[in-house]
Amino acid sequence: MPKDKPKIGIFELTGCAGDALLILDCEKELKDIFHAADIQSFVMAKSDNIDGKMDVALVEGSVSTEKEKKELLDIRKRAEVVVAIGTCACFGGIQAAFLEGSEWEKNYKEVYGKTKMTHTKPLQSKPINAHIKVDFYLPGCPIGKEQFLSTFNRIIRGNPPELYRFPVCVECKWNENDCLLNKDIPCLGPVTAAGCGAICINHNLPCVGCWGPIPGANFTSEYYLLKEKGFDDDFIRKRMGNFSGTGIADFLGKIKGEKR
Amino acid sequence: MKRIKIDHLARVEGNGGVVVTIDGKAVIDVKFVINEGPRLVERLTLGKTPEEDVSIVPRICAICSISHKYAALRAMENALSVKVPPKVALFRELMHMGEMIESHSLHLT
Repeated sequence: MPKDKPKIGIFELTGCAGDALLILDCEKELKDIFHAADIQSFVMAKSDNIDGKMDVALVEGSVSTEKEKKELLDIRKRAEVVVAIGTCACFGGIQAAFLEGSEWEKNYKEVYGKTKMTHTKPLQSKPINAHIKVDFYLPGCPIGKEQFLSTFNRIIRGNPPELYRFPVCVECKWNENDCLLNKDIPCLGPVTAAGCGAICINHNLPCVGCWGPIPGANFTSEYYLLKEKGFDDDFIRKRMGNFSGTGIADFLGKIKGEKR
Repeated sequence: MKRIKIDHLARVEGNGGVVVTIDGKAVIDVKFVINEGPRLVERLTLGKTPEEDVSIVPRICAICSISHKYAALRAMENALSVKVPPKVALFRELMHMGEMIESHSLHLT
């Protein structure tokens, strides 16, 4: 293998492994991916994995145990660039939807009772940027093929990824859907990162925000729009908080005064 | 006494390891280690509306999202004694089979 090939590691923390599988699902391009880069570590794809220095680390999943935290800190030390891939790594995912620490502890006790994890300590699920500096974020649940390939293509050449800079609404309009918000259906399209092709709205279901918030999302406007449509504060909070994890915690905290 | 320790099992969904203890020619102990962190999905739908429920459960797994949605729908229908028309049931089954084929063939890559 030539020396100048960029060294890449693909890692999975707590999640469903969907992002790693999506990479494997790039069947046509898979040979090119392995040809263009020196994939040093990719547990989902191969068994001979090397734990060394690397140029880029792609990390999927949320940090949910002490062991994962240690692993992640180690990855950061070994990698020049760290890219969070997928909603769980970017925002924490559904397991991070509990915003208060005490709520997580209560939930943990109710699920596991007194059973203890024997080889590591469980932690409240957090996105990877709660523990390390993250260079780039590739959103998605799972990540989209098109955006992944373009990101991969750019980062192995040392360029920053060029992600879609628009919300789901743009893709929704490309598909010529009727706006669900105009029909008083609580859709989160305006604040959610694009890339899914507006798949839910294409099937007449509102966007629930599973790709996480788009940078610069106007939560305030979405909040008051939904309020105007007759939805109450509790409903809107839960809606917006379900997928965005910590991506929206600040905003939800700020509108605390608005509670009925 | 020999020990074989695999920290990360490759090519499986989720994180797991195996520790095998061998004495001479006999395997005397096999331990499966689950490294997966808790996601508390068991509590995921509590306090949610049925409509929220069907939109959240598919995100338990991005690749087999249909199975989760299908299970949630059936659970709620059972709870409310709702019977779906045969055509709907067939469509769902078709969708589920499609997912199974896709998911299994993915691991052949």
